[in-house]
Amino acid sequence: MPSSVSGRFRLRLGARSRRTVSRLLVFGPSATILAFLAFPILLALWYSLTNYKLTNVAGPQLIGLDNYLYILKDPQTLDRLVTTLKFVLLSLGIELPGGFAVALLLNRESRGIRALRTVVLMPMMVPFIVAALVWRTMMAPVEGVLNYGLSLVGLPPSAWLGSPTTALPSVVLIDVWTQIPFVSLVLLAGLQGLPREPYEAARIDGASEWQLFRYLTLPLMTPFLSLISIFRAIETFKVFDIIFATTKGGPGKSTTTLNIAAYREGFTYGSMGSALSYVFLLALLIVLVVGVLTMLWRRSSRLTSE
Amino acid sequence: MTARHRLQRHRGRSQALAACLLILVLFATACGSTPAPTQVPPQVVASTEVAPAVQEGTSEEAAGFPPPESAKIDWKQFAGTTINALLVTHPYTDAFKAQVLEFEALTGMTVNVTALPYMEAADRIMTDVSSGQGQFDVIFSAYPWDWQFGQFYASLDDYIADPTLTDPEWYDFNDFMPLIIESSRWDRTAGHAIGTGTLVSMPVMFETYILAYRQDLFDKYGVSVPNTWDEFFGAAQALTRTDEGQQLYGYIGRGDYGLGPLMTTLILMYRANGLSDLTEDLVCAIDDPKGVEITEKYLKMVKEASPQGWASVSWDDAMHRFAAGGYAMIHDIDFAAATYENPETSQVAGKVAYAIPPEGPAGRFTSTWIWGLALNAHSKNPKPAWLLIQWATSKKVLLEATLEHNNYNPTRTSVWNDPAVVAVASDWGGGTYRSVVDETFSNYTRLLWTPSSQVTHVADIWTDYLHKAYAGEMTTEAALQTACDEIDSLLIREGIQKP
Repeated sequence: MPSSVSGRFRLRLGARSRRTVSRLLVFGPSATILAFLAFPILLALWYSLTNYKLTNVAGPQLIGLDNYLYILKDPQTLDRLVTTLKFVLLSLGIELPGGFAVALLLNRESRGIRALRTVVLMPMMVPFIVAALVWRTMMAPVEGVLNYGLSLVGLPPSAWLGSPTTALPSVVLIDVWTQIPFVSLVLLAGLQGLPREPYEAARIDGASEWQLFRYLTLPLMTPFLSLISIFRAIETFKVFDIIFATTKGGPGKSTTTLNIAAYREGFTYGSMGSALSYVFLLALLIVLVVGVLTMLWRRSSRLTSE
Repeated sequence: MTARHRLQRHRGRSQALAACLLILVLFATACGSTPAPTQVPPQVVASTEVAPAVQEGTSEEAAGFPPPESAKIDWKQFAGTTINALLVTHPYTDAFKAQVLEFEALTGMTVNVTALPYMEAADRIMTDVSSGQGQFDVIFSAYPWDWQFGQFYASLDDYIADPTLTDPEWYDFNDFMPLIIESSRWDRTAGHAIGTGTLVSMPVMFETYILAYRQDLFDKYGVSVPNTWDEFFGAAQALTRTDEGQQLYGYIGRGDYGLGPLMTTLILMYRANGLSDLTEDLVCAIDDPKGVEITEKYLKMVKEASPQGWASVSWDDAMHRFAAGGYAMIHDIDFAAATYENPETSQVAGKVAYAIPPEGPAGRFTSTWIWGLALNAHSKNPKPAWLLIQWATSKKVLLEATLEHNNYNPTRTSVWNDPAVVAVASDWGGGTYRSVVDETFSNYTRLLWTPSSQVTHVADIWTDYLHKAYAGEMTTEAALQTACDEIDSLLIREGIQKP
């Protein structure tokens, strides 16, 4: 049986034992991480079945699915779900096409474009909280620079974060600003890996730029688009820091997503059992959505590799 | 086996190794990225002498108040201990941070101070006290936060009565204003009045809510100072106009969610009309038809006499904007006068006057917020922590906090009546500040909330629905009724209201 790795490191092992060693080497750290994850998750799951309250010195008592039933019957839950979905769809709806457009732009070769790449990536280097706080200052209704800018072009000022109707779009704007660089980066990597032959062949056949995009680029990029959708979907479903740093779920609950609601239940009001139930319901939702997206991704990967 | 096959196996193995390394590295960095606590490690102050139990006053005495050294207790009895204090970012906290160095020198202890913004501090207190870990020994507490956290604070009466820890003559407990001490006592039974029960915090600062207005604008446009809430709404409308080419607004005030907007304006209006937040049976009462009427007038003022974005205005936003000019009235914290009257922080210094809160058919009411220092019941160093609380709330230290660090308003009668404090406060608003605060606090300030551990949650729900009514998403009536449904179901769930 062939054995040993080339170079100084000589391992004399049979193929089966090499497989076992490989598996053990991967298993070790994974098992540790799993233990660190599994224990808190199982504990949290147990707490979600109790009436655990931080301010209750008596300690948690098992109440079964009461927390979950209360949440499912609570009319506010639907509001929070709708707010979460609005945030997800608005963010993805802007970030994916926007990021794709930026990636297409950056994909051209020119000195100016290369410089532009650095500029476009800058928002990624700013910590979320810092970005949120600075945006909050810029969005101040009276003294903020955004309303000043609007007034210069003759547009009326907006309440931005201060009104229930404009708060969610404002928060989406902040998310879009921080995330488009990442989206465009992933899609740019995809674009640069695309094969040239189909394009050359299509050009010879007289295809227009638009046809190239629609019949070549778009289908070839579907795996990457699905992949980045999965990343962004997970992140936007559980968005927290941007909302917490700006509106904390207000005004009037217009930016209270499921995650923000969980935080308030748990840390502000001390109802940990209830908060954890929110978290698990949110997790279930994310798993379902991501499951669907992952199926799409796998299917599109298989199609494009043919 | 072909060379290609060997190559594939080789690649497979090194891929596995690389994957393991990657996981290990990620794991290590994930663990390592938890920031180390920023607390300064405890330093043992070398003390070469045993401090005598009694020291004659050797330091200069400010305004005749005996210095801490003259107290008949051994300040150095816990030398070498480290205690942790959690405070809220607030002018008092600036005073505390500066003064605590003197405490450390006096006692040989080390004090680590953490200051967080209001909401973050509340959440942090919640996690610390409920964990029972006693990470913080001294906590910045407040009426009415204490209604929720008070069960986790130590009863201070025992410490005050302990002669090895407190010198009763020097500390002079009765010097604290009675209403303020009353606010710190509660037996924590929902529905029972404040005033009896354990004392859970020593107050350092109180604020009450009064009217601050631009005397110059009122004179210029011939509007008289409002005495009733209806006149208040009228004045706000009358003064919303262009003034020398600039937009002038009649009113600026808090609108962010929580207790803030309610305790500075709305609940005062309710009480002045004979209404309250909860009935005696702890049933939600904010949707009373008269309450709906008042709320509609209030929201109309906020929409028409105030710029848009009211729902995100916090207390310091409102204060700084009034100080920047462009607003005729604000009904909020009294000690904002320190900001308004200071030419360095205000464009309206010298133009502001103060008035007592407007009244309604049922009388004149205003609310208060009292900050104090509490002792964590799970503290591992309760006695040293008490020394810190005692020291910080003593006459001389509180006076210095007031005079040198703008801690208004101090909670001790002697400090409030100290000639230097009187002189500063009487300067403000052309002399109106001090007399207004005196009159208001003596006659109109009441603890307006119905005591319960859920007061913050109730206020959150109330303001959430105010926001919806403000945005036109619901009529005021529907908003308040839905708010009441939610408040009632909350109180029932918490076992406060009988179903």
